Amino acid sequence: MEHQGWSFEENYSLSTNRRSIRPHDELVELLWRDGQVVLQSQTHREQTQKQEHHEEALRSNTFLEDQETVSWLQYPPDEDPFETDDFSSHFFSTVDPLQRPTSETVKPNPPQVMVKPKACPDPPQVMPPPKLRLTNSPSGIRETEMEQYSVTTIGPSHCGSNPSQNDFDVSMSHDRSKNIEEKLNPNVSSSSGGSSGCSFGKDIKEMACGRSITTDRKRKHIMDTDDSVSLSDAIGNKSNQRSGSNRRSRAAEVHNLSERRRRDRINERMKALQELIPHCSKTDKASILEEAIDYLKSLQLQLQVMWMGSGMAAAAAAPMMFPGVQPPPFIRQMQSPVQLPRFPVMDRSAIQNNPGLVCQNPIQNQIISDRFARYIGGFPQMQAATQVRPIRRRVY
Amino acid sequence: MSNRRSRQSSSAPRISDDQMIDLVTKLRQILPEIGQRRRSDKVSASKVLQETCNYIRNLNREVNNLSERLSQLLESVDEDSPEAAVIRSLLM
Repeated sequence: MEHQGWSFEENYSLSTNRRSIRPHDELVELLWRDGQVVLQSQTHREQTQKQEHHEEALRSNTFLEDQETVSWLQYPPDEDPFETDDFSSHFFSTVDPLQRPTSETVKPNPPQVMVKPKACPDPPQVMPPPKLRLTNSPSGIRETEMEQYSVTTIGPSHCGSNPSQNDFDVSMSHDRSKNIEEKLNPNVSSSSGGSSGCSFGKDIKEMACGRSITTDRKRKHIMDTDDSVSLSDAIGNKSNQRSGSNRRSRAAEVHNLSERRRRDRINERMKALQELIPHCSKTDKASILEEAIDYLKSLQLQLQVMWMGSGMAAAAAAPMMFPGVQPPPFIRQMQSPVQLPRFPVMDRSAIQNNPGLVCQNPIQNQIISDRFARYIGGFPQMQAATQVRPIRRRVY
Repeated sequence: MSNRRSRQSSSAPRISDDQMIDLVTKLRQILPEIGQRRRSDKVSASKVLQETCNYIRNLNREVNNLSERLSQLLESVDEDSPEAAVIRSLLM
């Protein structure tokens, strides 16, 4: 909020070229600490400033293209003279403990909002004042309503320029507008305005922050739950009206989270698989899976052949003739008659031509079987292969 | 919902769920252990993928071991013998 306050000042000073705003703020700062005396002189000057500020808020609001909040902002200029008088009287009647917040209430404008973060650097202090303001008087409610709508409108306009503050700013203004919505439903036709303010804040949040999270979720629910969780202590009363939707939204949120976790796990494993597969240029899941299937089959065949070759070589090295020395124990799926692919082993086209693990090159098959037959004691290759099948030891 | 998902993963809308199920089933048939003993509908896709990765790594390791062994055997066999030719072609 501090930043927002600062940026308010900058905006106003730049657009209006009025340095008198700052002196106002400084004087109000003094008010907070010193007392009520200085305030009275401020109120008159402020009235002229208020309308300008509200006009600016209007401008920024129209820039953001929200008609309803514009209509809201049109209220304040009309009501200002009355309310400031009320507040000035109210102000003097208040007790010292209320000094700080009432000094705030005297200035319902954005300047007051600007002042607050200036005088009170801690963000938590920003939140209690709205509460106090709302309980002061009915006129105060209206005032705060317009103030806070001006906050909602102006805040988001700065969100774009100050992305780090976005969430806090908009959520703050968003919560205020929501608070207003609850309090003001009976008073004015504020419910529509409140909802517009809420939705407005939500849209701005998404626009400014551009988070994938908020765009993926059901927007209202997540916004509500997040805000209520983060600022429920300060605001209060929200949970009563939102418990039903909160439960539903929480369940949906939990489901979404678990679904997302599952998907993330699957995507991660898909990436690992893609890295394992050599020369895999595909990025979509189906083709990666297909490639993986082909690669696995080719690997199995390759191993089988190598086992036989090694058996053969061992047989040749030692003058013993026995078939299938150490059959690959993990290859079990060779139910169809397995014929070895042509040499060289495991080039991809060979495997792709052999969906049923059957070599389509009978000549080379013959050669292989001849060779193997010679050195494996005359066994035809298929029998040697079939002997491989039944063993199912895990080699891991 | 699917629109949102498609924004996250580029391939989601074009590939049908049935297609994925088919592929996963095929994969499970190749893999040892999984899909053989268990009931077919209880294995999750991520588990299948993990098993596939592990299996590929194991097979690769096996191939390396065998290649080493074959190369050793090659040395013990006469250079001109047909076995050498076979082994050499295996090792390619």
